[in-house]
Amino acid sequence: MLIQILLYPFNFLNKVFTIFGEYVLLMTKMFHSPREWKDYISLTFDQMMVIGTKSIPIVIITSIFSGMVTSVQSAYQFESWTPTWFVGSIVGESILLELAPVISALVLTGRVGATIAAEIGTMRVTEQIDAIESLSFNPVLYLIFPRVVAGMCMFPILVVIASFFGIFGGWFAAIMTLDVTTYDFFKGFKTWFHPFDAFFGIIKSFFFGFTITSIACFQGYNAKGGAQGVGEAATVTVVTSCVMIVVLDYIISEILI
Amino acid sequence: MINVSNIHKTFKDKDVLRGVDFSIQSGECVVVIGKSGSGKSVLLKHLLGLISPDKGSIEIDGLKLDELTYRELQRVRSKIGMVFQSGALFDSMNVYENLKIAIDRLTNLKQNQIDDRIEQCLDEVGMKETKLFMPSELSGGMKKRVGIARAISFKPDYLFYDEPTTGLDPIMSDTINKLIYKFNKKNKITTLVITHSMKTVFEIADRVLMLYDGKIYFNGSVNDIKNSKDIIISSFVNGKEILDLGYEKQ
Repeated sequence: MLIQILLYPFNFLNKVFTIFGEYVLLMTKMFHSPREWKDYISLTFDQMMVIGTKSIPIVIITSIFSGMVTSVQSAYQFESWTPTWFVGSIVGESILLELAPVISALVLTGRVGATIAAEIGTMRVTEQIDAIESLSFNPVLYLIFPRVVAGMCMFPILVVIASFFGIFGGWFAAIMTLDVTTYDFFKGFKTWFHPFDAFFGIIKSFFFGFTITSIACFQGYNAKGGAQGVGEAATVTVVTSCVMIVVLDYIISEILI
Repeated sequence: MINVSNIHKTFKDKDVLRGVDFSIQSGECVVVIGKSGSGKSVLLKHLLGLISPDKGSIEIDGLKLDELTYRELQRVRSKIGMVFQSGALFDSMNVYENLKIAIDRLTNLKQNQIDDRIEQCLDEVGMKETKLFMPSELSGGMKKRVGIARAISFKPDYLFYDEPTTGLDPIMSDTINKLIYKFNKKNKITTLVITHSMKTVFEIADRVLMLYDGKIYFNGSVNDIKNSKDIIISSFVNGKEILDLGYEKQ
């Protein structure tokens, strides 16, 4: 028993590295046959619709409220000795640099990541992936390539939308509940605005898009057993993606800022 | 022609296949029987190239599967129609689209020819009226018939069936058996069927293989297996447990 406890960290690390190796191998399979990519372009557009367009409402709702809460809480912290037009700068920078990409990614982990893992996992346990292979399709290109590419293309667009509605939410809360005018809000917003800030969120979202969709595809593709295996794939996808988002968020910030 | 030579496969210390040898001639209908967990489905997945053997080789039309590139393996697979145990229809597509994707991929037919082919294949399995149904709207037997229609839609040289009658009522099982027989004899498609059902064996098989303990225990005609005195074979054929489990219906 004691030996098992002592060996647990090593076994855990061994398992993590094994899974990571399998993940890298699966992802590299996407790049083995670029000549075949054109066969899967139409599927990629379908996935852009599913991953991107259908996620717009949830992204708008979460970003509006993120902006509103940022506005209210920053005004509360300023109290009386900071000019209220600072609210605009805090909302703008927080939304563009952090909240729009990260909150959107966390929400999309649930909406997109869990859906992809469950969908591909169900296809695995009901032999649909074997059927794809038996029809001479490459299952990696048929199932994984369109979803990952769609994620990398659509997440940045979603973050642009989230940034716009986040700032809108912050402005709305500022003029409705705080003693801030529209002029003051945008004065503050412009004071510390750097064009790079807008690109920073987009760059992050590109990596988040790849991470969430690729982890989901990997988990679904390797699902085992029946309904329990599919559920486990979806859960692991959400947990792993959330952890990876915050880790990547730090790494990208450290590199780019 | 299919040649299987001395294939071995182990999963997590369990020897599933321990030297399987057999061959299937063109136009033949071979049925593989064996207890649950005896490795029948694993054997079938080897023939499709979905699993690689640890040892031994599989040849289809003179091509060794383990020596082929992925592209060449895809070309071999395009000659094989596979009917999965659960049908394995694509959930997100209706019946028409399930057949269209196979024909699109594996033939050079034009759209109007594809439509005609789909009509014809669905008609052959008696499922013409379900063209626009989603798989979730079909019963188990209907799914299997659509699965057969998809498998024959690109006119393959080989048809593999994984437990085609499992979970079906006796009448539907009979329908499926008749379809397998029809496609084998009328269309001269070399057929391999994995089953537990002795009724299927008696109705369609030209030759029977029995997998037992990871090896081919029996390889012979339907009459040979019916008349076999071997206790393992006769207990499977007659559905009788060899061990005394301590109770018997009076």
